[in-house]
This record gives sequence, structure tokens and C-alpha cells, in this order.
Amino acid sequence: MNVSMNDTSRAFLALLEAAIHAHEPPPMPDGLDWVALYRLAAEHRVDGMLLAPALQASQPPSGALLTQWQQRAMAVTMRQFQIVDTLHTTLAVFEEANLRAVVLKGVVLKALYPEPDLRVMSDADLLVESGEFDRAKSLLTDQGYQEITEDSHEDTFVCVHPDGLRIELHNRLFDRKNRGFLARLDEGALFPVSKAVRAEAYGGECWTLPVGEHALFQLLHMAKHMITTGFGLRQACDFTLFIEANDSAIDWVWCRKQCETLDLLPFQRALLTLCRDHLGLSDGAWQSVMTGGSPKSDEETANGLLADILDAGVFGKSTAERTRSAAVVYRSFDGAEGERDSRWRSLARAVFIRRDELHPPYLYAKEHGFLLPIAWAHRLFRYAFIDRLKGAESGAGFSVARERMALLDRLGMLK
Amino acid sequence: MAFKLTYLQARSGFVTRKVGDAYMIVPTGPRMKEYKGVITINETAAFLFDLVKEKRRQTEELVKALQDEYGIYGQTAFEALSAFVDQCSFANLLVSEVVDHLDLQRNYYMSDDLLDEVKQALANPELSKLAEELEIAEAAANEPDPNAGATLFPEIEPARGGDGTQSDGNV
Repeated sequence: MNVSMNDTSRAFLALLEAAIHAHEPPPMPDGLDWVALYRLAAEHRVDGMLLAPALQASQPPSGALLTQWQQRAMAVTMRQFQIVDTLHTTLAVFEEANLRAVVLKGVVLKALYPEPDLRVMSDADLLVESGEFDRAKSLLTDQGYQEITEDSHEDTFVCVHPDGLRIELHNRLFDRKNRGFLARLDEGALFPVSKAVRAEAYGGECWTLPVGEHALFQLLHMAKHMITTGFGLRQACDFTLFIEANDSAIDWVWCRKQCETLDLLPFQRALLTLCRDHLGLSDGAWQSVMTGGSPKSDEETANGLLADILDAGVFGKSTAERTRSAAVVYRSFDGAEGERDSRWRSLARAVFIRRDELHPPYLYAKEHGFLLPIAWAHRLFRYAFIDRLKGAESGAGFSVARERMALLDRLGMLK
Repeated sequence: MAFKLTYLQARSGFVTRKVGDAYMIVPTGPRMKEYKGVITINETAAFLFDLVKEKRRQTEELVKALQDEYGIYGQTAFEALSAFVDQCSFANLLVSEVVDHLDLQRNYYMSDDLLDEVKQALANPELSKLAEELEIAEAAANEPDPNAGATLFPEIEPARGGDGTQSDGNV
């Protein structure tokens, strides 16, 4: 995970900042490795957004790279049109059925970008009242959506439309089994469907959370990913643009208080610092959150967070070892409060998990409890050998986990 | 003296987008089922497509727009327009309609005086005042008329037949 801010990373951030604010990028360094920059952008799924500012460089990308970049951006545009169109058709059916489906992120955030078609949205998250969950599922299947059973669970119905739009229908926003700060979150009180408002979104109107709640939700969503695999720069861009568009309408005192209650104030401050320093978040009322802290400490933590984000890809799944590390980090929250797990204890927690928490490819033991020891052995085998077979160093996942745990500690997120 | 006016209009359900240095036409809504691939065009074509997407336009108006925007004149401008029409017609993105003066009079209830003004306008690109009057005539003509046999400024279909009006997808 040791990502230093090299020329590529610096140029990448500068182009991204220019892209989301639709202004001319600063001069790029001589001999910039455009291939490396393109790969980094693709990992974060912002390559389409970066094409226009990249072409403004004095030595822009060219040849096969430019062709590929251009083609991908055009394909993204086509795909996004289709996804957005399908989503609004689906939402219209919900409206007709008088069933309120609250749109989270997605088309609401897309609309904030100078080039909304190039802000990739791979799926749509919809929140409905628990009592309406079954009816909402029926509405989706009636429209031709097919359930993805391996991704669905008690509170989330995951399905895909023949046109390719994937919808995650939720009756709650965060997993009941979530650890860390999420175990203390009363999401029913913070994000009730009844508080939803009608708002402009890309391609039409929709129900969504009020701006203050939506800002807090985004922050909690990023924090949730932070305690597993990490989150990507696109989410930080979303947050930056959302704050710029709604700063004066957000109750920052309330927002700060919620973060304090959840022990997320250091994370909130680090994230805002990162958005300001690297993504050009303009001054505003949000700065009230920063009072009483140490700017130097915020900057240091923000830089650590940025290094983690640059390494993460969209949802932190940029490398196999990173994905492996997620289990180690996540399982460490099983330890008693205040107790830091030892290296081997963390690893043991990651391998010897409970039957009800098994996920693919270990579901055979979920169905047949007597196979649990086999699943543990299988899991241990994967930790020990699969990474090596894939070219990663043995134990690299654990190493990433240790670094991430140190960062989470600095962010106060291990409580 | 007979003369003909050629009108062009984009079919509904398409938008243009600039992506990097390239331009593309993207189908929207129900058109997505018809068009699965990417339709790439050049900058001039994107400019012309946006004009004919906005409203039905005469070819002369488009040629003038090319002159104003890109400084291309005469035969070059006509060739650019012709290439645009060919490409768009091939992809079935465009509807063209040729109307002679008899159609104008019959379909748009145009008076002889107004028709004369149209003729003058064709010789003189300063069309603003006349366009206003045409719009007034169109609005009047669009009033419900139980005796009207012809649809006034109808939604243009890809292929039409009939006296004096033809459409073959090309100029």
C-alpha cells in the first residue's frame, strides 16, 4: 500500500481536480507516463472524465493509448445513457405504484459533474420502507429484473435488468452485522424514508435524502468501505461536488455532532482536508467542522487517507492482497473494545469465521454446518497459496492489513 | 415560377455528445433498442445535427450557418452539408422533406404576398422578419380546423408520397 505521491499520482489528481471543476489543468510534468496515469484512472473508473483535460496537456496522450482511452470514454457514455434511462423508467413504475423508492448517490451525484455521462454509475441503490420491501421486489421482477441470489440477503435484494442496470434494493442502508462505528449507528433515526425529498437528478427527478442526510450518508458509506477494503477517489469527488453544490443548505453543526457520536470526527476532518487540498473543495460553511482541531494533524491524516485511496481503486479492490486484507481488518473489530488484536489473532479471526458469515466460495459450509472445518482449511489454503499463485507475495494481504489498521487507528476508527 | 424548399430535421430521440476530441450521436429512450453501436461524427456534423435537432430547417439556412460558424462558403459548404445528409440518412437519423411553392400555399395557408416574400427571402439570407411571419402563419395554421385535410407542419415521417412532396431520406 505504500503509495508515494509520484509524478503520475500528482498529475492524476491535478487532472481529476480540473475535470470535476471544468477548468484548464495545470501544466503536466515532462515525460509524464500517460499509460500509468490512464491505468490509475481506469482503476478508479474516472478515465473517461480525465480524457478532456488530458488532451489539453502540452504533450497529450497519443497513438494506441489515445485510441483506447477515447473508445472507452465513448463506450462509457453510451452505457451511462442506457443505465440512466432504464433507472428512470423503473422509478416511474415505482411512482405509478405509489411506492417511494429513495435514490442514494448515483443519478443525484452524477448531475453535479460538468460531464455527467462520464461519471460512471454501475448500479443504483434504492431504499424503501421495510413494509414495502416485498412489494418493491415484485415491482422490479415484474419489469424483467432477475435476482442475483448470491448477492442478495435479508435486507438487500440485488437484481439486474436485461439492459444491464443492476439495482440494489435496500430496506436498510447498512448491514446489521456491521462492526466498528456502524454497530453504534441508528440508521432508522438518521435516514428514514419518510424524510426523503423530491429532487432534480440526472435524467429526471427522483426521491432522495435531504442534503444534510445525504452528505452524512456519503461520509458513512465511505467510512464503511474504509473499515473493509477502502474507498476510491470517485467517491471523494462525489463528496466534494456535493458539498460545493449544497454547502449552505447542510446543517454542519448537526453533521459534526453525528460524526462525533460515531467517533468519526477525525475521519470527517481528514476527508474534508483531502477534498480541499487535492480535489479543490472551495471554502464554505463546511469549514466549521474543522474548528478546534490541529490543521497539521488533519493534513497528515488526510495524506495517509489519500495514499490509501490512491491504492484502493473504486471500492478498494484494486489488488488481490488488498481484498484479502479486508477480511483481516474487518474481523479485527471482533476484538473487545480497546484491545488491539495481535497479528496472529487478527489472522485467525479472518480465517476461522462463523458459519453465518461465510460468503462465496465457502457457502457449502453455510448450508452444511459439519463442513465448517473444511471451509476453514479451504480459507487458510487460499490465504497461504492463492496470493502466491497470483504473483503476490505470501502474506502481502496481511501486510496491507497492518498498514490499513494503523491508518484506521489514526482516524480513530478502531473504537 | 416554381421553386422548391428542402427541409431537414433530426429524428427524435438522439443527442450529440463531445467526448475528448470526438463527437458522437447517442440514442436515447426507445431509440436505444434500435441503435446499439456508437455513431461517431465530426465537429461540423455535430454542429449541423444540433441545428436540425432543435427544429426543422431549410438547407439554405444550414449552409449559411456553416458560413457563419466555420467560414466555409459556396460549393465547399454545400458539399459539407451533402456529406452530413448522406451520413445521417444512411444511419436513418434524419428526415428530409422537399416542398414546392404549391405545397407551401396549400399546406401552410400562405398568401400570394407571403409566398412572394419567401421567394425574396431565398435570394436574401436576412430572414429574421420573415421567419417571424412564418411562425405566425404556422401558429394560425395549427389552430384546429375540422375541414383541414392536410396536417400543418406535420410530424415528419421517414418516407412520404403524394403530389409535390417527396422524401427519400436524401437531399
